[in-house]
Parts: sequence; C-alpha cells; structure tokens
Amino acid sequence: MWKVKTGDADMANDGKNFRILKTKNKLRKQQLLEKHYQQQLEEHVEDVKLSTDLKVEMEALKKSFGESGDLIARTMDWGGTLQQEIGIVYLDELANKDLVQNFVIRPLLQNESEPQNKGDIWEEITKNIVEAGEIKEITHFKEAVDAILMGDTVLLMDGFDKGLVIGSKGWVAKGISNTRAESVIRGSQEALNETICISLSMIRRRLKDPQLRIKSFTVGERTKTGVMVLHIEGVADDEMVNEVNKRIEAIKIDGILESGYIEELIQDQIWTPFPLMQNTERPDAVVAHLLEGKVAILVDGTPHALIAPSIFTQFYNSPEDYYERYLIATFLRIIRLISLFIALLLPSLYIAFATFHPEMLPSKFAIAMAAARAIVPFSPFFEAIAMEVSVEILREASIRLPGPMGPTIGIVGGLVIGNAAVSAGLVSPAVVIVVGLTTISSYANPNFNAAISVRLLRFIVMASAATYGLYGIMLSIMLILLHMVQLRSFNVPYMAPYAPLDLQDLKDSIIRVPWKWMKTRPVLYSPDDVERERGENS
Amino acid sequence: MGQNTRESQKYSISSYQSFVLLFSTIFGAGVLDLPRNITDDVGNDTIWVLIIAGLLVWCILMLITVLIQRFPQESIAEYLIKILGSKRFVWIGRILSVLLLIPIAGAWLAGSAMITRTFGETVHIMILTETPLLAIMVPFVLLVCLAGCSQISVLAKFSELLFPLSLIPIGMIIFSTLIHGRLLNVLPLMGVSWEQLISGVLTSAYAFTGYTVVLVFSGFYQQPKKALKVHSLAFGFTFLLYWGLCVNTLAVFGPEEVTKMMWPVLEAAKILQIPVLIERMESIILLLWVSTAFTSAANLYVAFVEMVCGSLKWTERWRKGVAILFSFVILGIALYPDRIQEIWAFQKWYGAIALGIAICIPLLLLMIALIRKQKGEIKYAKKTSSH
Repeated sequence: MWKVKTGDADMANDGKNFRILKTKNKLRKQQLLEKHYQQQLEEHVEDVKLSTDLKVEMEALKKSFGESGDLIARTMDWGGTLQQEIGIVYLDELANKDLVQNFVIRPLLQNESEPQNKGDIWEEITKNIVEAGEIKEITHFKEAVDAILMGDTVLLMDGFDKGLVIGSKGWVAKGISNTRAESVIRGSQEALNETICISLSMIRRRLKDPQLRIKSFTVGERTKTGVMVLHIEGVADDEMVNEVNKRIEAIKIDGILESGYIEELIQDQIWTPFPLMQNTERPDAVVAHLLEGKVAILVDGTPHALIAPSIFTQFYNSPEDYYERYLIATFLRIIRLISLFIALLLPSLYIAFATFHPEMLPSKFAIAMAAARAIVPFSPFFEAIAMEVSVEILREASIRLPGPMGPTIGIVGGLVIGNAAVSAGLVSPAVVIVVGLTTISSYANPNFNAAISVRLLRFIVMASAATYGLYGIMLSIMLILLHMVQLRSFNVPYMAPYAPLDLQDLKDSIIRVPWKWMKTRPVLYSPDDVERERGENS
Repeated sequence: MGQNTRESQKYSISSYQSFVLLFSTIFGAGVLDLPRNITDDVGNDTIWVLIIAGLLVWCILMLITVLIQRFPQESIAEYLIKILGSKRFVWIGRILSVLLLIPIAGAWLAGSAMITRTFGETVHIMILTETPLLAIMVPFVLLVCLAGCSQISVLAKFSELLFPLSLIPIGMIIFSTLIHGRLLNVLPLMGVSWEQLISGVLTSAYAFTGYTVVLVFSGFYQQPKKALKVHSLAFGFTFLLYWGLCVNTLAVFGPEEVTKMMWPVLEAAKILQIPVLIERMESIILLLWVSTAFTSAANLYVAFVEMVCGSLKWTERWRKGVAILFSFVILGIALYPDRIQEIWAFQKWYGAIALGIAICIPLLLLMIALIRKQKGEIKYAKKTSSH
C-alpha cells in the first residue's frame, strides 16, 4: 500500500526491499515495515508548520537541540503600546555575534516608529528595522532548525505563523594558506580554503564571468555538508553538468567529511586503482579546468576542489606547464612521462633482466651486475620487493610523523639502512639504485592520487616479472591498458585523446603548443563554446 | 547518459579506429614465420607471389566490404536474417544464418587458438625456455578472455593505443635491409611453376587471415560509407609491412638460409643491436609481437563472442559467460597439436579453408542480396565528438 505513496526514487529501493522480503523470514519483514513507518513519521515532522504561539515555538526549538548550552534563544518585548513579543534564536559559535547584536537586536530595542495595528508589525520589522542584508521568510519548523545549524539567526514573532531567517554566518575560519601538495615555482601560491565561501571567493576573483553557475546541495543527512557544483554556462556541456548534479543528488549517506566521500560515491566505476576525478587545492587550476568546459565540485570543510570529468593525461599536467614557456613545459611533460615509466617498470625490469634475460644486456654490464649479486643470498624478486616495501614504509612514516621529524626519517631510512644493507651483503647495490630512482620518479608526478596508483600497480608488475620475465611485464602492461581504455569519467574516455585518438586535442597532451595556437578548447569535453581565442593574436 | 549517448556508444567506431582494428587483426598472425613458409614454396619469387596473394585477399576484402556496405550499421545476425529469411517464416532465416555462421565462427575460434599456440611456442623457444608451454599460454588466454568480455569499442581503443608499437618494425626493416641486405640474395626471379605459385598463395593466405572480422565490426562503424577506403588502407598497410619483412629477410639471408630458419624475422632482428643498452634486439621484437599477437587473437575472439551473442539474441549479461566458456575451447584447440611441425601443417590447411570460407560465404550472401534486392539504411549519423 505504501508503495504508491513514495516517489520514483524510492520505488527502486522498495523493489529491492521487496526482494529481500521474499527471501528472508517474517520477522525481518516486520522489522522493515516498522522501519518504514518510522521513516514516514520522521518525514511527517518535516512538514510541521510554524505555529503562531511564540512560547511553544521557542520551547520546541530548544527541545530539538536538546536544551544545548550554545543555543541562544532570547525573547523580548518590542514597541511601546503594542508589546509585541519577539524571539531570536541562534547558535553561539556559528553566528556572527556582532552582526546579530548591532543589526538585529539593537535596532529592535532602539526603534522609534511603530505601526498602527498589530498586523503591520511583520512588514515593519522585516522591511525597516532589521538591518541585515540577507533575509528570508520561512514557514516550516525544519527550515528554522536548518537555518540555525547553518549559523543563521531565526527571528520569530508571537501571533505570526512564519519566521525570518537573517544571514549571520560567522564561524571561525582559517586564513588563506599556501599550497602544500601542488607547489609551483611560478604562479599563485594560494590554496583553497576549508570554508566553502572563501574558496568560492577565490575562484570568483579569478573568473569574473557572470556565466559562472553555482548549484548548491546539502549532502549528508546528519552533517548537512554544503556542496557546490561550479560550471561556466555556455562552455560546459549541459548534459555533463546535469549528470554531475544528478549523481550528487542521488547520494544517500549520513555524513560527508571530505571531498573523497563524494568522489567515491559519484565516480563511474569503483573497481579501479586509477583516480577518475582529480582533486586540486589550487584556485587557478580550478578556473583553468572550468574554462576547459569541466565541472568543479567544492565541498565545505575540504580545501580541495574535485574536477570532473578527468582523463589520465590530466594527472600528469601541472598548472605550471601553462605558465612556463611552451618548450620548457613540453620538456617537463616528457620528463614526467619517463618518470611514470620508471616508477612503474624499473624494479620489474631489474627483476626480469636479473632472473630471466641476462643475455639481453651488454656483456660487461651483465658481468658487473652478476658480480655485485654474487654474495647476495636472496633472489632478485625478494630483494626488490623487500626494498620497495621498506621504502613504502619509510614514505608512510615520514608523512605520519609530526612536523620536522619527517625528513629525518627519510634520510636515516634511505641513506643509512640502504648503505648498511649493501655493505652487509643483503642486497646488491644495483637494487638500491633501482629503488632510489623509482622512488624519486614517483615523486615527479604532480598529482599525489595518480602517483599512488602507480605505486600500487608496481607490485603487480613486479610479481608478473618474477613469474614470466619480460613477457610477464608485457602481459601486465596490456592488462593495465585494457583496463584503462574501458574506464570512463563522466562519459569521457579515460585514455583520450590517445584512445580514441583526437588529433586536435593532442595540442595539449605530451606537448603543449604555444598559447597562440591553442585556439580551441579540448573537444573531448564537448564544450558548447569551442573557441578559446577569438580573432588573431599578433 | 541518456538514450542518445547509449546509441552513440553503439555506433562508436571511428574510421581511424576501424583502420587500426583491421590492421591489428590481420597483422600478427603469421608475421614471424611467413617469410620461411612462403620462401619454402616459391623461393626467390616471394617478392611477386606475395603481391598476387595480397591482391587476391584485397579482392575478397572488397567483396565483403561491398556486402556490409549494403547493410550499414547492422550486425551480421541482423542482415543475414534479412538476406536469407522471409518475412512470413522468420525461423527459416534464423536457421540458415546460424548454419552459415558456424564455419565463420569456427574459423575465428581456431584462428585465435592458433595464434595462441604459435605465440606460446615462440615465447617458449626464444625467451622462456624453462617455462612450460601451458604456463605461457594460460595468462595469454586469460587476457584474451578478458578482452572478449568487453565491448568492441574498448578493443578498438586498445588497438589504437598499441598501434604505434607495431610501427617500430618498419624502422627495423629499413635499417637492417640497408645495412645487411644484398641484391644478389633477392635475384633471380621468375623460376616458379604453377603448382608452386598456388601453394605459395595459399600459404600466404594464412598470414592474412582475420580480415573477415569486418563482417562483425562493420555493424559498429560511425561512417560505413568510408569503409571501402579504410579497409583498403588498412589492408595495404599490413601488406606493405609483410612484404617489407619478407624482402628484408630474403635480402639479408637469401632463400636457402631463410628456409632453414624457424623465425627468419627474429633472426634478422638478432643482427641489429643498440650498442650500449640492449645487446639482442630479437627479444624486444618478440615483446612487441606479444602486443600484435594479442590484438589479433583478442579481436578475433571479440568478433566471435559478439557474433555468438548477436545471432542467438543474448543480452549483455551473457557476454561474459560466453567469453569465459569459449576461452577453454581456445586453450583446448591450442593444446591439441603435439609438435610445431603439426602446427605448420595445420596453418596451411587453415589458411586454405579460411580463404574458401571468406570467398564463398560473402559471395553467396551478396548474390542472394542482389537477387532479392535486400538493402539496409544508415540508422545513426555521426555526432560531432568521436567517443
């Protein structure tokens, strides 16, 4: 019976529930039904309208916050003759107290004009007396609670079945800090902020385009985290923007503490080691992506913006590539590509050559390697795996260690242990070089979350190299490629512009052509407005 | 991801992708031992016998292309029923089409298995001498099976990504021919009898097998009108590579030596080296060949799976099951021959039979279609973006 009442989205859930009902026993059925009625009851609470009795309302508000000590609920009498009772409710730590004091309470207490009859009081107060800029009328109880939780102030009056929300958000925010993970030599050093408004202001300041569209969501039933989806209308593809909005709306979770929650909940496929969305802490990078016709997602409490869709090559580009001259940028991108291959393959190549194919190496090199390995008791695979794992441990330790001790661990681990292991004859010097190069190469990646997936895959390639030598490496590379070509990020193929090949988009891939020639946006994201440069640059 | 995008995903193979798909399917099957096999038959005359074989195969390919262009963006199961069946008795068409599809499907499966086996043998003999043959073939078949589980568009993108790797042999051909080649080894020509000629053409037919996959792939083309050009280009490119490799090995070793070598192409690569880095190039070539062999086997297998699912009207859910089930069949066929000589004998037979299938079935279908005046239309025009 209740199936009919619920909306379309719930129908799917109900269908699932129904299937469970069929298979599980009757007790479970009863529990489910009970749960459902409970839900309906809660939904009903949302429909409660504000009543005209101020005392009841104030009590209800206090009660819904569990008589919490930080809820300021003050009542006062207004006007000389009319004696209108007014209630003001806000949360002590979230609202800007100066604002509430100076622009709400003081004007109320110092009022001079007074309307003739009681019916005009609402008009008078909301239009003339309250001096705050952002006001909104509400009629439901739940709206009042939500507004208070956001840091706004709610003003209620006796005899009126509505309330006034006065924008007074003013919580403590961190100042703008420097970039930490994506540092550049040239270019802005500002990083996005944990407070969503500050982040947004940084983006707006860089992109003074009225076409910048911001859609706000509240995600998380309990945390009620603010999420904003940014795109430039007329540039970003509408279908894609709708897809992003749709997926965010569909999220059902109790709390969002970091953008990672959103990322994992909305990405196309979870069974992949590769990141399908980029996160960046740089406002300039966000603007650059928006200008390419992508969508940025800001999450309150997270100093990172998510970029959707994201393709593989994007993770190997740094914002600096666009600030440096194009030749330098291209050179740096080639270096990064080489470092990607070293980070992924070098230990496996070492294993393959040392175990299976010493004959492929030039003879002098092969002899030197064999001589160094002569006293090592372990197989090349074990040697390499042991060293790689210890480097991973060192890396993790140096990140988790508080402040200045991090680098110390790196030096102690890298130099001292490596050196000692070589002189003790436990590992060959070649493996130390290999592991060192691999580690440094994986740091050359501008994006941490892409680098970490390569670190993970490295172990798989190493294992297959130990079983099948070069053939194993080739097989695992093909496995990885086969996986990568079927990935999609918001319907954009992950390996584009290489597969499917798009000659036009190759202008910003391994090479970066001069800005003069970058006349169009990447067609990959099917932007509405393709032209980036109108007219000729001299 | 509305209905529209799903449609566009269905007809998602661009012209370039169809080029790469066809190229990577043909190139790879017999590349390593083609020079030996054909030189064995016709000696020095390889140079022009191969051209004749190429022309013959090109004609067949054009025949198939004309057929599939009559029914653009239709899967083989769809147009077969159109050609063979009548509106009143749909089941006649279905039964006849399944009967006609069985030999094609069998040829693809066997082709895939044969590539697996020759590949396994080569890796076993050249680089992993102590690894058992089965252990080499199993991961290869697993990978082929994994590819079989995915859509054709995925395979198209995969072949696209690996395409540059197959260009590396071109450089090798040019270098090694210029450095080590002798004109004396290639001459004299025209010393071949009619029987030898036919035998040589049939031998080289094996190297070119795989072009019949366009029967299935064409159903996904964005621009079926360009197919004639694209197929010719892809085939021409493959043919040039094959021809270059044959001339190269002949010029370097001469016919007597080539016939005594197992894999003349690898032997030719052995002579080359990058002084400081790699001493023996043949392992590198062999590794590149892993990718070309894999794309050939995988494309054949994907075509097979697609055809099975399409003609039996099975949905996407069944694709994985079919792919997994028949990968055992591949492994079984691949394990069947005892010795490598047996495989070579198989290859010759397979080449001849596949050639027969490739001529007869499309010709028959095209004739019936012409007589019955059956024709298809383009259902979906190309969108601006190509993914």
